[in-house]
Amino acid sequence: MENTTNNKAHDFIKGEVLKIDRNAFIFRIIATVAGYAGITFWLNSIRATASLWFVWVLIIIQFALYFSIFIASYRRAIICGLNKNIGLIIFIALAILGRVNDWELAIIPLMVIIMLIVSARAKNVSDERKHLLPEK
Amino acid sequence: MLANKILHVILTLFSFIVVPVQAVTTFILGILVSLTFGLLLLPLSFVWVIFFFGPLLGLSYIYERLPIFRPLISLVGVPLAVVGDIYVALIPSMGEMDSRWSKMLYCQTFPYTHEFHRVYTKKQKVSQNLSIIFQRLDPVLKNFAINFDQKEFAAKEESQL
Repeated sequence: MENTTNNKAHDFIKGEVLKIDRNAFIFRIIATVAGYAGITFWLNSIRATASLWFVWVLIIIQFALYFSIFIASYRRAIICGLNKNIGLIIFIALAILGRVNDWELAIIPLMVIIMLIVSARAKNVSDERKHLLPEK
Repeated sequence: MLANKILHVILTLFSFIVVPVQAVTTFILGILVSLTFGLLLLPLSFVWVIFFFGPLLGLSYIYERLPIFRPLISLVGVPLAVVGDIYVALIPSMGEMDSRWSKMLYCQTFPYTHEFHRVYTKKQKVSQNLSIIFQRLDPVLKNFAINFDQKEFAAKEESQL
């Protein structure tokens, strides 16, 4: 009886921790993509007129945000059970392909949607939130 | 003028190695430049300015002003111009061909780089020395140099009228 109650409590807490993980990923990926899209549009509109040092600063931020999208997705994919090496190859390939012409317009939204679906189905808790789980 | 002749002979010899290697380096560096949103062009340009453009300009300026140092400057400048030209050939242009050709001309016009700089910055017309050097250039660069000169001065003369 006590065991069943303990298991139920454990499952409930695990469910809640998984929910925190998912929400954190959703927030992170959407904020990064929105930031990247925003800075890209802004940069394109001011590139010809703004001072050079400011354009370079924006490019550095754009560069950091672009790779943040893939890094966040890679880390989430690893938590979801993807093999580290295969994940690394896949996300590096996607990051490279994203820089070919306008392919990022297809690659980033598709990858984000797929990652959100995969993340929603995740059954593993991330290492950074494992301490929230009760000891069995 | 002898220094420039020697420079062209060396560059012609090196071109047999540089041209095939160029296809690989420009492709790989082009991908890296694209991946870094053009940020890689900053260190590449930095290297060009600090190690090649500045020294070549300085050396050719001294070559012009102090004839006594000409042999010494040629001894230092010719290898530097060769390495500079190879460097420019190996880095990607990212579609900015005018910039690439002008960099190559800065190297290939040594020891008249400073004179070429004045022509390029519209401060002077092409001298006899430079026009002889232009004749030695490969057709693409020659065409760029001659057209640049004519275009710029035609525009300048028109504006003065």
